[in-house]
Amino acid sequence: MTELTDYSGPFDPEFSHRRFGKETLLKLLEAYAEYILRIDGFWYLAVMEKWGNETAFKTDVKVWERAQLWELKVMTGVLNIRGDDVATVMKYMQSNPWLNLCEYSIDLKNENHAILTKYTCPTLFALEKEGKGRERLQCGEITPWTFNTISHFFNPKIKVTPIKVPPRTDYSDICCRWEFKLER
Amino acid sequence: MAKQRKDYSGPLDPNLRFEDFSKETLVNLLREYQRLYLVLDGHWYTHIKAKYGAEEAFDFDMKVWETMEAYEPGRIAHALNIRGNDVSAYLKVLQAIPAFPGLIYDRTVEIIDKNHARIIVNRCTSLEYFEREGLGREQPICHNMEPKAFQWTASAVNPRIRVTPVKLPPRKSRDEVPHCIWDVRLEE
Repeated sequence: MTELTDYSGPFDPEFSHRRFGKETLLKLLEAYAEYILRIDGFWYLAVMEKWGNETAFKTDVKVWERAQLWELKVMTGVLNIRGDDVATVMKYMQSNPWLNLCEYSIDLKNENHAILTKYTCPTLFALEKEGKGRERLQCGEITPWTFNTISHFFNPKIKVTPIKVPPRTDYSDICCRWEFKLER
Repeated sequence: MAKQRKDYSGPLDPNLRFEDFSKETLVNLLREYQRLYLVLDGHWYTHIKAKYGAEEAFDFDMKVWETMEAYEPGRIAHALNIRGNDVSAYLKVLQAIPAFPGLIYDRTVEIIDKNHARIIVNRCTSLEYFEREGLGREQPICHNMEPKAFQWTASAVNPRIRVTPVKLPPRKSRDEVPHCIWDVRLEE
C-alpha cells in the first residue's frame, strides 16, 4: 500500500497512523510534543491567573512528581533504553518529547560524563516574552529537579550541575548548559 | 540506506534523530505522546481537585480545553495538509488529534452523507478509568465537558458544524458497547 505524505485526500474511515510515511509521522510527533507542552502550560497559566505563581509552581511540581516517573517508565519501555550510566540518561534525553522541541547538543566526554547544551527552548522564549521573570523558577528550580529525577531514575549517584542557566541578558546566548557526571 | 531502529538499545548515538526509528517505533511513540497528553491533564485536574474541590478543578479543565481546542485542530490540519471546512475535514482532524486519541481509543466513523456523520466510540479508556475510580466523574466529563470539547474542535474547523451526543455513559454494564455515539451535521 502506498504511504501517504499527508491527509489532503478524501476522508478515510479506516484511518490509521500507519498509513503515513515516516516524514509525516515525524511532523505529527512534533505536533504532539507541542500539545503536551501547551496543555501543561495552559494549566499552569490558568492556576497562576487565579491563585498566583506560587500555587501554580507548587502544583506543577506535584504534577510532575507523578508525570515524570510515568513518562520515564513508558518511554524507556517503548525504546528499550536500559543502563545506569550518563550515556543512558543522554539517550533518554534525546528521545523524550520535551527536548524534541529544542535545538540542543550533547557532548559525551565518556560514558559517565556529558554536557547538555540547549540553544533554543520554547518554554524559555515564552517566559522571556512574558517578562515576569518566571524563568528564574522554571529554569533554576523545576529544570534541575526534572534533570535530577530523570538521572536518578537510571542511577541515583549521577550528579547534575547547572553550568549556565537563565535569566539571560544576551538573547543571542545559549538557553542553558548542564553537566551530568557519575563518579564510579 | 536510512536507519530503521526498532528501539534505542545499544550505545548512545550522538547524532540520533527521530528519523532513525522505524515507522512502527514512531507510531508507538505517537501513542505514548497521546497518552502523556491526557495523563498530564489528569494529574493537573487531580491536584487541583484535591486542594480546591471537584467543581473548581472541572472549571479549570474546561478553560484549559477550550484554549487547547482553539489551537489543536489548526496545528494538526497544517501538519497533515487537511484543507476545507466540511464534515469530512472535521472528521479527518478528529482522527489525528491526540485529544481524541485514535491510538488509544477504539472509535469508528459512519458517513451518512456529505453533511452528516456519526462518531462511534467503541472503547474509551478514559471512561473505563472513571468507572474503576468509582467517583462518578463520567457524569461531568461525558455529559458536560465532552459535548463542549467536540463542539470546540468542530467550530475550529467550521462554526456551522454541530456535534450532539446520541448515546452517553453511564453504562448499564461493563460489557456495554459502544461507550458513546455522536451525531455530526453541517447546518445549511
